[in-house]
Amino acid sequence: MKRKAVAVLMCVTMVGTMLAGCGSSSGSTGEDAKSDSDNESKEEVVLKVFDAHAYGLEQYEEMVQQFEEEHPGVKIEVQHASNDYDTLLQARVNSGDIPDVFDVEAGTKAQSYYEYAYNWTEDKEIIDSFHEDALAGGTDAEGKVMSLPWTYENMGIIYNKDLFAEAGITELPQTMDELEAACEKLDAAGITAFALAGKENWVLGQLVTHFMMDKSLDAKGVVEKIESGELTFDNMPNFKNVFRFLDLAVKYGPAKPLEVDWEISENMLANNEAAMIHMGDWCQSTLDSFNPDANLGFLPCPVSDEKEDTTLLSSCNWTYIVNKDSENLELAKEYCEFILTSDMGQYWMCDGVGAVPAVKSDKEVQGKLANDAKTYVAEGKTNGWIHTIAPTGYGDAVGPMIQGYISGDLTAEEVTAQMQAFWES
Amino acid sequence: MKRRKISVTNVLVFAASVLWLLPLLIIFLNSFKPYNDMMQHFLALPKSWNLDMYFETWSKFDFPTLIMNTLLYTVVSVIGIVILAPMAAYKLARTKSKFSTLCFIIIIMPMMVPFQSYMITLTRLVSKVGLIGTKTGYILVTIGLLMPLAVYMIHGFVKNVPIELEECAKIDGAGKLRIYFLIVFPLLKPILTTVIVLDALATWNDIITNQLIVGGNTAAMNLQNALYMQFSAQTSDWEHALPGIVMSMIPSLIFFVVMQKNIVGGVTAGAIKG
Amino acid sequence: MKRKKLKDFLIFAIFVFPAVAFVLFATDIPFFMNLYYSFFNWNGVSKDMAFVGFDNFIKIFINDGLFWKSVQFTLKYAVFYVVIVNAIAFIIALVLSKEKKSSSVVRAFYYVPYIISLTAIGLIWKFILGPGFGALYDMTGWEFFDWSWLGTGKLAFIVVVVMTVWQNVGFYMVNYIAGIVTIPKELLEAAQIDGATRFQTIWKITVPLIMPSISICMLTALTFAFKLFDVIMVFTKGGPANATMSVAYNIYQEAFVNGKYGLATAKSLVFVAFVLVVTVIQLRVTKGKEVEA
Repeated sequence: MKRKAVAVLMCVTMVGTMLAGCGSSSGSTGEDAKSDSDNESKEEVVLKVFDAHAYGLEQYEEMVQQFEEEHPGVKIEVQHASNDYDTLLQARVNSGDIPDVFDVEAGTKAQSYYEYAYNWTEDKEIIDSFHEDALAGGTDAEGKVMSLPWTYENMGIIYNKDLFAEAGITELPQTMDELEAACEKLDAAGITAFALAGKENWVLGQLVTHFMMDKSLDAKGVVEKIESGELTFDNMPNFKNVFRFLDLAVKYGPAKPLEVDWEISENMLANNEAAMIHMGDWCQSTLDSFNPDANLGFLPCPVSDEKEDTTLLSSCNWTYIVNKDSENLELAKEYCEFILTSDMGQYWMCDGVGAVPAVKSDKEVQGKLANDAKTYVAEGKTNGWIHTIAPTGYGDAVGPMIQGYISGDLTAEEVTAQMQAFWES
Repeated sequence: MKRRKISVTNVLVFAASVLWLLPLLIIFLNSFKPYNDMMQHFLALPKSWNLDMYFETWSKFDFPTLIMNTLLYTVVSVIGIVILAPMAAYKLARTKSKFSTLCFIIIIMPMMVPFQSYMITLTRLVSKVGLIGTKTGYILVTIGLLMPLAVYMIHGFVKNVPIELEECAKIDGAGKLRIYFLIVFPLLKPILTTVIVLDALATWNDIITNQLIVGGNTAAMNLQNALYMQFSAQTSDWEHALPGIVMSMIPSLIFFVVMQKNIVGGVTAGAIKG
Repeated sequence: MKRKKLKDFLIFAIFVFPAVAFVLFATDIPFFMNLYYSFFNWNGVSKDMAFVGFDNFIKIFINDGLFWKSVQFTLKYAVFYVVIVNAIAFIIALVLSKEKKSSSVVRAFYYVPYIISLTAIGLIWKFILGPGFGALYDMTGWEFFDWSWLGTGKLAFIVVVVMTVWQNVGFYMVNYIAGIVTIPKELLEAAQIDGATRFQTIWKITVPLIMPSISICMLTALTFAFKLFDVIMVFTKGGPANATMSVAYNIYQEAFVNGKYGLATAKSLVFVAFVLVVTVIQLRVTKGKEVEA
């Protein structure tokens, strides 16, 4: 009898706990853990925001606080899903829990969400506040502005100025031959020239796009020509030089290139252990946390024997979408506009994130690399990103090919053929 | 002669255990180091032992709420399994019919299926019944996900309960429910303890299911999920994550050590066979 | 008689149906919802999807070398993992199933990796294989430490096996201990008195009597191996050059990175059908050898 009572008690406890869980969950859905639950919270409007930001979060918080102060009764619920971002966003969209405001990578990824996006084309005032080229990344096939740009992100070779000076390199290399000469000088000074993140598919994929670029066509033009068949990986003028580049990176790089991940790559550069890596200015905060005194700058990637061909690739990669079916559409639009164009928003982008905003702004930008790239951008010397408008799965398809070349399992011809096959499938 | 042979293996097993413990120590050491220091001198002792990052992580992540959430999930899920799984396992083991086999297959089929292949449709289903983003939804899904292995494990062990005992009780006039609760259930203690340990730890450490079901409702996040968010493809906040991980492991370790006694102290269970 | 049958069925239902309901909800139904999607081309996000009939399935068998490579990897891994982790766990369990305090402490040691969050484990191994091995090489000069463990396909395979064995052995150990502990001491003592060697005792008495534990451990190990994902996701990401791509990771990549949800679900159906066959065979083998008390 006693045991039966225990069993019954257990059942009751379980049901009771579950009911308690029910009660607290329906009360907590939509509420921020830090907010007080009083009567007012039931009439609150909650705006759901979802992004992939991993830094500048303190400034973001300040920005959110200001918006909430200016809009009493409104609560901003942000999820910074920097890890597994795509999966989580997909899951949310599929479960009907589409965020009111969210950001996506421009290009093929953003396109897939455009059927849920609010169309900004008629909001002339807002559109005019952005740089024209920045908006290009957020337009769909018919030229409608479906998402708003965030900041410019630049990628290319990042080099360690102190190490270059130590090796006696006075002029930045602009051709493949000059690059090789620079490597030899670094080697002679006992410096590891490269710390390419060979383990990362996405780094390798991005590196390759420099050698696909044709400055007269820019990113979109190149992709169009590849798809129409006019341009193949065989007849691309500079593609074959990627193999020469890789050979240099391996010869003058760490002993185990395929084991270097982004973290090790950036750490070596910042700690003066390697002179060059391929990366973008989004890694500024990580580099700073490794060594705030590191003297680094962008080196437009040499791709041929012509100095004019060097490429620094720039794009407003992250672009913000407003859910067109949002319950609070006007508020969502206002929030989006606020974070991307207002003074507070600019403070977040320039100081917190340290990048150059897409909106026209005079604010000083904190990120050293972003500032370095600014001059190139202003002089129109940059080109767009190919890998985000490439067919989906580009990085994970190309990365292994390059790794195969580095390990010697694939020849240059085989890689070229596989690249062609990938694009055609 | 026999003694010596045992000793060699004994020594090996005891000595090798250090290899299992060492990494824990290394994490612990590194949780005190700044980022660059960790990258440059991973195996060294930390330069200073200040607990600043521990305190900062505790308050920044609102550890109390996270711990309460995770505790709630763990306790309720485990209770759910302890009540429902043995019942099903026992009945399925004792009933030899086609329908029973069908039910058994339905329950254990998921053991072979990779979660990735149905996680999106699961979120769709959960949202269709209005449970997406809720703690209840997460708990129900967790119980459902833990059920197959639990039932399978207990099912195998039911054989250790001699059917004669049940038949005796039946002759004495006991009903089926009573036989189960008073006789069978207590005898399943060793395997149940293993199941409890397994499921409690799995729920405590869960990341992906929590991410998917709880979605945007940050108030319902569990501990490991919140910590996992500190990493992205291109940044890693180890300075907060490592102290967080160390702190999150302490309850698990204590729990395991406590529960262990129940597994090995099952000497009485063996006596039944005699 | 009918009333009794009804009553029996009701009791069966009370005992069994709740568990069935939970599993149907959390896995069975979502998985079979996939059956629907496998006939479409869907990017996982859009409201539209294009019906393509058996196209996805055909693609798998004709044009998906990477999928079959991942199947090969997963099967090979399964064989190594299941055998190694069970062997090691069994030996450890034999030694540690006493009630001594020291055994208790060491048992906890073995269980530790099972408790540590996977991201931390990834970090540890990254440093062991990188700077750690580097330092060991400097100290000893053994070539072994200088190989590119993560940079070479074959070596990376070994790393994955070692990592997962190291991480999970505690769980199997606990299971084996739970089984060993139920063996009546009298049986073991009687065997020793009769002059059986340690090995004979283990092989003829211990093993048959803990068949339920062995069965559970074998099946759990097998299913873990087939579903291998977390370690790949956190540590190797399928590399180098797709050498460590597991089936689950391939499916994940197809669905979430390549945006081909229909193809991914078709693959998972193909794979599960395959696994089902293998598991049924394995169950028949071990269940057939179990000894009832």
